[in-house]
Amino acid sequence: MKYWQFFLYLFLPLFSTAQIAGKVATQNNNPLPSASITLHKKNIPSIIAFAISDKDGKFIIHYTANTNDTLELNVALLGYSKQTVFFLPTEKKDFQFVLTPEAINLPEVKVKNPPVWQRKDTINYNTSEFKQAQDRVIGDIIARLPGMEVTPGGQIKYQGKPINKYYIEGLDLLEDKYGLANNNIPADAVDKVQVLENHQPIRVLDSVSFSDRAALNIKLKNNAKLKLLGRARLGMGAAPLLSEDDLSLMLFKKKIQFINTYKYNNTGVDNTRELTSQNFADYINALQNGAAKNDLVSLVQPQAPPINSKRYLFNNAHTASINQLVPLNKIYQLRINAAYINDFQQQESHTSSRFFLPNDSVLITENNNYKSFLNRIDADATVMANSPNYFLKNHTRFQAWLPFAKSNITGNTLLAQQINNPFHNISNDFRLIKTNKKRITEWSSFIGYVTMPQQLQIQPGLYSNLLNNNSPYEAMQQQASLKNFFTDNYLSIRKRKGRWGLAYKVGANLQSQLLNTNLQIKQNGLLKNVADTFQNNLHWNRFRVNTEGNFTYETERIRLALNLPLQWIYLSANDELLAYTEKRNALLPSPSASIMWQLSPKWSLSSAASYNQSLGDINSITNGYILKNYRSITNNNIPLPENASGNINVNITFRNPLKILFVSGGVNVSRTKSNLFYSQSFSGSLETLLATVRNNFANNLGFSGRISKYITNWKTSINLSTNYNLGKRQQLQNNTVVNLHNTSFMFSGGFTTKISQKINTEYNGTYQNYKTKSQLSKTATSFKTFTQIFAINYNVSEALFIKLAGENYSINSTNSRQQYLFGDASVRLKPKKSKIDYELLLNNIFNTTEFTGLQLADNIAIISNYIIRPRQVLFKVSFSLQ
Amino acid sequence: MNKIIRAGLILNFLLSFFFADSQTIDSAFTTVKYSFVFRPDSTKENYTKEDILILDIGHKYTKYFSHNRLIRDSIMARQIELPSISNGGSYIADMRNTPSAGSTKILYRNLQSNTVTVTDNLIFDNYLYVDSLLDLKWKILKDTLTINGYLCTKAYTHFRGRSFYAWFANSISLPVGPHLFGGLPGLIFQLEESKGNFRYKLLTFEKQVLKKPIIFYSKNHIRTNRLEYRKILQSMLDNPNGYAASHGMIFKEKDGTIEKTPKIPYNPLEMY
Repeated sequence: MKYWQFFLYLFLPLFSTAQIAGKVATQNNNPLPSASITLHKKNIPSIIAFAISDKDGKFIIHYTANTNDTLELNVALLGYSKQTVFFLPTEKKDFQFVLTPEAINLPEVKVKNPPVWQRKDTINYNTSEFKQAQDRVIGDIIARLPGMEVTPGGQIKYQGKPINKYYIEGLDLLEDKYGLANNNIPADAVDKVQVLENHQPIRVLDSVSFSDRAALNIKLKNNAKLKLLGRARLGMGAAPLLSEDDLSLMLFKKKIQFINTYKYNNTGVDNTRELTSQNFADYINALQNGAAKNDLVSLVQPQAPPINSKRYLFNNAHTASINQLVPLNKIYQLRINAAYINDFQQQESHTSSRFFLPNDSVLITENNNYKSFLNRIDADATVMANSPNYFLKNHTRFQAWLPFAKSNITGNTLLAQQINNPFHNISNDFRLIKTNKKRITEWSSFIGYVTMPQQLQIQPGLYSNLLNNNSPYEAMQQQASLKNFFTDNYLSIRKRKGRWGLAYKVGANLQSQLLNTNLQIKQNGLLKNVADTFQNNLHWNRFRVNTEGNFTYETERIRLALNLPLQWIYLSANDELLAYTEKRNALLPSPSASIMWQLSPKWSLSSAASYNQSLGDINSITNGYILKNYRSITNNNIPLPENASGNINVNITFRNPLKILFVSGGVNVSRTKSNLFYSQSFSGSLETLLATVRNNFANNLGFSGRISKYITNWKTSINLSTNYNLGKRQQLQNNTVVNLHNTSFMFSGGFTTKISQKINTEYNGTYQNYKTKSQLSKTATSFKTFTQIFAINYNVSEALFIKLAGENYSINSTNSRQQYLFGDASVRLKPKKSKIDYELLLNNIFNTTEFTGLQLADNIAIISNYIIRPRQVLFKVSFSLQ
Repeated sequence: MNKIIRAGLILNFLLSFFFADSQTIDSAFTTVKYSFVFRPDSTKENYTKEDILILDIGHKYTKYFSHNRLIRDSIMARQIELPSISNGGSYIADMRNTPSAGSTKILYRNLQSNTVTVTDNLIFDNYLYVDSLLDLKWKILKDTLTINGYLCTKAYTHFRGRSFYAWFANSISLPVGPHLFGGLPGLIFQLEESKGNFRYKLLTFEKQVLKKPIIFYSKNHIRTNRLEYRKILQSMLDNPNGYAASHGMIFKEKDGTIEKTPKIPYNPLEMY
């Protein structure tokens, strides 16, 4: 005994200092090191002394305690059962413990990520926070995320701007047909959705060329990354006999990604939307180059009603797609995207269109019984490399669209119209960007060939006074074929010096087109040409050389860009038969400037100004008449259209991921100058287009704003958005210039909220007001619509879900008022741990069978009445691979 | 210094492809994550850095390493894997959007002998030493606090020149914790140096359903002891260029003179 301990004994005779020792072992008598041995007073948690067993399982504890207290010795090691012994300090000194293994049953400590958080330029949305029990695919969740918006066509916008990429685990599998991912990736498989702000998809250009667009990245849960995901579904219903079946298989590994789908339905679900490109800028570009489908002839057919497409779509559609991304080696990736659509659609409608003319008005009524058949193949193969110093993309595209449609029209005239308007496109787009210490060099070459051999047939022959010397005939047949060859090549060099960036681009492109049209009539079974003036054999060659200087200046907070493109166009068009030639030289500058200013970490401002000049295309100078549709015969015996437009926009955004508040707003001003006035003239229901050379202007001023906020405690997200647009256009009426004013206003508000663990609701209401007023008339014509969409989900148990949903449309015009209410109900049973779920749906509960819509343009008012899908019952069984 | 680190890291990476050798020593049944906030310079009170550390716990060994470093390393490895297109020999690693550099130290605790094997990469070389931790003694205090739903008890130690307070959960009977700390009758949830220079906080405590292997990387280690290692580290931080020069890498200014780099502040957890 130590000296000081002796004194302790002297003065505190109640306390003793002692030592206990022992050994901890397993049942097999193996020593158990690292076990905790703690000494307490009986039933008092505070530790008097402790030891950790050594490599032989042995321990020694020195302690001081009241000799009368019963002591408690606990031996524990995670993964083994705990043992406790009680003893008096006087009795026992040596302990042998045998611990038996035991499952660890302790609550885990997990990081609860906030619903939304930000790291540098990335905003992360924790999907579990936004997911509701009824969600099946990731698109259901994305539509609900604050700051985001999904248009009815499937385009995703962040802070009001369309996203520029949709990545899955950082890989670009689908380019801009991201509807396939959005509609098929199971909601359960996604861990978080990331928004990459100001995202430049080409890594070489990352610090050189900046972007004000955001990209989306889907981060999957770890277990979803390794295995095949997918779903198989069978659905049957009535009436008539309905079927809805689909199969989707997908895999998202580092080395391979694919999404393969097959879907069929005749229930009104538009699956072709997910195969549609969502990049409108690319589409407009293709349209200008003649690489997009721009029909030469058409059927008279009312516009789709402004309601949910599942209400009016009488379809019978098969869609299939294959999308695969594989690395070829360490640098290159190969991507294959192919899609096939086979669709048969029907529609019955009744339309009355009123054209307001300077002195009177023309009313055309049509009962339209329409059927369309489509076979469409799209195939894309892309080789890509996207590293920080090397970018390559070679994209080969093949498209074959074979649509055929016919309709019977009764009303003012009785006729049958029929159209074949195929579109074939083959193109190759190559782009290479290399970088070295001094500069970034880019080569790009696009080459494409498009054919559109189209045909419109009308029975019986109309306008015999005009086409056949007043003698009646059986049918008219308009042939129209366009062949388009297009190539665009450029070289650009970029340099970066400190904060300055300089890019210089030089390019050349050629568009060579041939348009053949011929109107024929059939009399006594024989086809004959109407006249030379009803033919076009137009050769068009447009050669363009462009140079472009691009200057950027960048600081931490401000990015400025000035873009100075200058193009020289040489254009020649000729039609031998009509003795028409046009040759043009033009030098067209289209400068633009932009600024992005990070005012604070939360506020940012961007503004852009641009001036653009363009010339008309081959369709605007057809000298021979073309029967565009049964009631329009047009020629363009006019000079080449010239348009110039200026545009300025200012956008401001605010986002606070911490408070989950996203706000953005913008102003847009534009002015367009055209050298031609177009006006219609009618003889009966035959419309001809007239053009007069006279400069005219159109102005537009638009405001937009949106706010979205998520309230974490209430599990509620709220969205508000508004648009206000003022437009002024000029029209030529009786040779005087008349101003037309259009005003449109939209306000939309919605929320989704979790009322309780079991009940959640969604609501969205949109109010729209459209007004048009001519300078000559005192009153404006206007119409207002109010659309409400609501849903209530009730999770009766973990396995049973009930959903009630509805839409209410209210349409008010100056002299009519209409209300439509649609209701749907569904019950879904998903037994726990089962891979199969069952769903019973009742659509259009109130059995609304007709819908009347209204359209208003400058001087046209169209009232269309559509037959819509009646009440129907559907039973679906889905099997999910998970 | 930056240049040296960059050069060294890349060198190391290239070397690691040739010499990396790994061995699975155990499998973790539990993983703990700690946040670590520290003052790199004791004279600058308001300047702190952060790291996230992972403690993989097996039945025989634990492994403690920086999560941030792991992420940076894997990003860098991926970028270096991509062959350089523009000009041979130069590597560009895009380290944006990666977490700040984490600790290069990896600690393997032998739960049977209660010793810790420390490996560290001092830019050019990898060092390894075994710390017996005989001088780590705890005093258990009366205070208790519930952290993340676990009742924790306070403990105090004076360890290698600094005082630390720890909160450990008696109900998770594992004598482990962040860094070298352990030997308490429960998992350490929080640990703080008395002057606030070092703060560890438990972020997660999760069971590993699929047992995660604990891999020991033996990257051509130079075996040393703790005191020797401290001397090397000190010399590197005091004179980074001299340290580089001792490995044959000389950084010159444009005019040819040898570049002088300032001393790097050093605020070690262990004072001796």
